[in-house]
Amino acid sequence: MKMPNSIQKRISSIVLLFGCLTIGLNNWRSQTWLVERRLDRLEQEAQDTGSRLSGLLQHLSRRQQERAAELEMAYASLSHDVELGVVCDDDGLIRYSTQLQWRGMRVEDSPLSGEWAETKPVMERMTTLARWNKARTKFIVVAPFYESYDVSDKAVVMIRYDPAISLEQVRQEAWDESFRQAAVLLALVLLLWLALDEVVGRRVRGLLRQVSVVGHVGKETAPATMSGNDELALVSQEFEQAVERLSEAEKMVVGAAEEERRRIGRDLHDDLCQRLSATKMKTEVMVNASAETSPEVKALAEQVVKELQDSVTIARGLARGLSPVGLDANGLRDALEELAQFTRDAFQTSCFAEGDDVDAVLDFHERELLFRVAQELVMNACKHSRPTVISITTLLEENAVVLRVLHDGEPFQPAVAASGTGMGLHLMTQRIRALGATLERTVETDLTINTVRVPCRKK
Amino acid sequence: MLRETTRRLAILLAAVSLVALAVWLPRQEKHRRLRLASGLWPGSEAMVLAHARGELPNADFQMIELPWSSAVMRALGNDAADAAVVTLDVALRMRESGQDLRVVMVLDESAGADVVLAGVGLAEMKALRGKRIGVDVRGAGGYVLANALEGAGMTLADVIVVPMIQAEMEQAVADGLVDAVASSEPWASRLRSAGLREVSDVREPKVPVMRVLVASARACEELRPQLSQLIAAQIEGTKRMRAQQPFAGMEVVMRRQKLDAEQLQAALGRWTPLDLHANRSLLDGDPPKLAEMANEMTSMMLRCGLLKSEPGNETWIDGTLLREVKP
Repeated sequence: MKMPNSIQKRISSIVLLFGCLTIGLNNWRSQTWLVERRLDRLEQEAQDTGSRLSGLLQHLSRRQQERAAELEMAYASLSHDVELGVVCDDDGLIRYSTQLQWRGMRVEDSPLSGEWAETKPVMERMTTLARWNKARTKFIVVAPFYESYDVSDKAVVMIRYDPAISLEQVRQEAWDESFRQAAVLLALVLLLWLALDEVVGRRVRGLLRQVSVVGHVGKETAPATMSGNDELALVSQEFEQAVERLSEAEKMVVGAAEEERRRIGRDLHDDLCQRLSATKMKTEVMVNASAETSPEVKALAEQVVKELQDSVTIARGLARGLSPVGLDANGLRDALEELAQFTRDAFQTSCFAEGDDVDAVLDFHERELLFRVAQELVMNACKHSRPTVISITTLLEENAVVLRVLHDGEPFQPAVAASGTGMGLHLMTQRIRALGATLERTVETDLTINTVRVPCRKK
Repeated sequence: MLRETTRRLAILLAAVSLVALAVWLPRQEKHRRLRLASGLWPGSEAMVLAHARGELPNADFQMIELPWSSAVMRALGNDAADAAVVTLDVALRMRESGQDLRVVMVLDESAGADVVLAGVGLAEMKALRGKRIGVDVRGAGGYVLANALEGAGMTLADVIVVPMIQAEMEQAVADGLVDAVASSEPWASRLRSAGLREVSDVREPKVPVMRVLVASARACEELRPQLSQLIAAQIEGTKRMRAQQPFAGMEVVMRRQKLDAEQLQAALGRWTPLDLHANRSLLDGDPPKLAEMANEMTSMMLRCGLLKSEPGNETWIDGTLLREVKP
């Protein structure tokens, strides 16, 4: 399985990519939203606290409840964001503070000295001021109140907030949430990968195997056609039907070719060979007739007789090759024995044929194709492997006829064979396909074994 | 085939693990500050100074300065604070009320910082019979007064207890609302300056008043580094405060405690700070020595009615943090 290019890998990667983009966008949105919400809350809390304290302290001051006022200021420091809060009079003397060390000090000497200048107009107008500093890192609320019943006796609550730590926590929460989303996304992508592998990947790989074995005559068999009515199953079924149609067509073509070969063979044997024989006989008469009258003519006629004899031999050989003698009359075994005889004569190689009679389970056309396959295997061995012995065997098995051609020559080299023109091999492969057979080549203890297995039903 | 199945199972397992991680990953604040509720006990000023100096950084520590001991108890009780400095008797009362807290350090032992003060003519405990005595009943005053009365053969029923916070005592004495008070530093020093005198025959309690650093159980789990840092700052800061006079930051302490230099110098001699070694000897061990002292204090408080029932037996002393503090 080629993982990097698989469909499920690509789809999963795309989902992961879009998921990551979504999480990133969501993280950005969450952070922005949470920070804004936190700051809004801080502003609201600051204004509420300032207003509440100014009202409460006005009441407590008038009733001289200093300790209660002190406690109220102390409680203001419970807020995470309060940096420092003080209550000071209009002269800048700090009465109460969230940090007790500033109590009794002048506000100009405290960390809130910068904000003190802004309290003058606030106390004049007696309205609450709440604003961010320029860097928007600190929020200050200034809430004035009357200390006593004298309108000139004013005081002010000043609280400075620093949201840095809260905002850091908010951002951390957003990242935590994103981390969770990423974990869920990754889990979903893994599950998607599994689902795609089950629903698509496996089936596509099956389809690929189905396609890849078409045209091959090796031992590997095509996987079963997919059932169902989804797109892949329909492709698989359509493909199988197309292969069947092509196979039928190929059978017809091969059959027609064999028929044509037989016809040409018959014509060569029955017509041309007869004519040549007749001409040769006439020429022999001419040899006898010219023996006394013209020695030159006689010599020439004798030469013609010899050439005619050679032509007859060649034509008969061609006819035998095109239409094996005895295949229709005596069966495949005799035809193979004749092939062995021819091989012994032609190549001076020990060749013999033996085995079961398979004529009963193969029709003539199948016998002829199988003979041609055996012929090609033997001829190839003789031409390329230089064997000393060749064996041709036929076996009748339960559901198949097995043709085995073995020899002790050099093993078959597929790479070398593929590099050549390979017409013989091509035709042999075509015939094997037409037979619906498989060809397996093995080498055992220096013997090359070619096994052709033709599926058949006992007739 | 087996390899393919194994691979699929591994992927499935990884997916399930990731979902489980996303679902069960604890949602907690990644960086929580330790919120320390500090009262006005001069012995804990070392922590406040360390925070003011930045040795206990603002990013890790939030100081909540509460002037009333009852406010400190409430802050710890309602989870507004993670740790606080209280007296051991207060810690026992908080335990009795069901609060899940741990004593992680003993700051000091009182040696005159918690006293019964009375006006002229009330020099002995017996003279207080039937008198009005101002007591912060939710602070150490109850324990101090009960012990003093018990030493004199009396009980709380022999006097009129006037409940008030420490900060109210000066005014109450000035207004003649009470004849005596059970007070602690820094208010005791101010009351002395106002003319009150220590009742002379007060028996020293068997278990002295001890200020302890208590923390919620949650803080002991989640904020250990900050707690260790806090303990170290307290021990180191106390050493510096006592190494030379005036010490750095003394003015700040004086302002916070509303004491002048002389009063502060005198007050420093009224309690004994405990160093790391002394703390380990109290909090380590099985059972810890502090537990034995607390048992004795509990018996006395039950006897005097300061506790209604004995606090539970669950763990409430955590000496492990001391091991993380370098001497």
